[in-house]
Amino acid sequence: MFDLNGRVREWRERQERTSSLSPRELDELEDHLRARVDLELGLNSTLAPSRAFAIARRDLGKPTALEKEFAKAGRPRWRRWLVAGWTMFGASFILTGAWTLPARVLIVPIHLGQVVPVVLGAYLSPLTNLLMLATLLELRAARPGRTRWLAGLVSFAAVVNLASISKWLNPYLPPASHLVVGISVWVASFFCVTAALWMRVRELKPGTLEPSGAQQA
Amino acid sequence: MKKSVYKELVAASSRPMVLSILTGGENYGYEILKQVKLLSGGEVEWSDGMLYPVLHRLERDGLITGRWQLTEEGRRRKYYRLTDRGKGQLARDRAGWRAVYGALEASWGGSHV
Repeated sequence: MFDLNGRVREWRERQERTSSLSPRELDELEDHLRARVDLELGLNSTLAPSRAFAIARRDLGKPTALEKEFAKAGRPRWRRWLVAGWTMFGASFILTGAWTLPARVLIVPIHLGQVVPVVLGAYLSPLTNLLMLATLLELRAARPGRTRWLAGLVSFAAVVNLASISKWLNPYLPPASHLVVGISVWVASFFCVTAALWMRVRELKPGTLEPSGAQQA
Repeated sequence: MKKSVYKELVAASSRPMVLSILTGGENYGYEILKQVKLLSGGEVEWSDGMLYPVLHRLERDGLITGRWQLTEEGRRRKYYRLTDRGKGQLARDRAGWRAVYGALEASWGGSHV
């Protein structure tokens, strides 16, 4: 016997695997799919449910085509923030001449016997770069729980970076140099990505449901 | 039979079409799609997957607003309604389309080309 719920679930899982449509977008498409099946069955009582489902699924389109349609309508705001954050992140490495940074950051504090700046500035802050790499995973479909964790960690990293740069490393940086600009852009990129991730969390969170009697139309 | 309203025209008219349908009250995706077919006598046909990106874009532009509701069957459904900004946009769209339609009618001299 044809299991409509099972087939819809399979369809949804496939969409989750092969497209970057958000759970909210998929909820809406799933409702459409089911409504279309109901309509097909209502129009033709002899139609097999499996055939009605096949028609509805075909007319809704392939995951790639659907994703293209959503892309045409404009990418969500969180993606623009994420891309902006990543652009700043990349640019900061060029501005600072990152390949020389560890030596420049390490040598001066060690020479002055400053342990805290070394730990925070030279080890903890660069470690946060690994977190930035993890944020790339958010470009694909994600679960709200994981994204919330990541958003929390990147928020923390942004604050740590800002504190370590402005409080502990500031005395050792040459004023008004491209290094300062680069490091500022690097710190700002974390805040930008933080904003993107919290927007993403908001998008992934299921919408507030109202009882069916509240409909006005 | 080939549709007389080709895809570029369908895409251009999508915003005023959705906004116009929502002047009739709150509605959801699939019903909006059915209304489009009904109002155009089947001449304007949107692919099922095309509607939702349009709705989301209109929502992002603040022309419509959506809210989630649980249907009697227990399904999650998103209903959309027109905002004040959407009403203003619709008035502008309506004036624009009437101007285009008027100009075309005048250029055709009332005859069918």
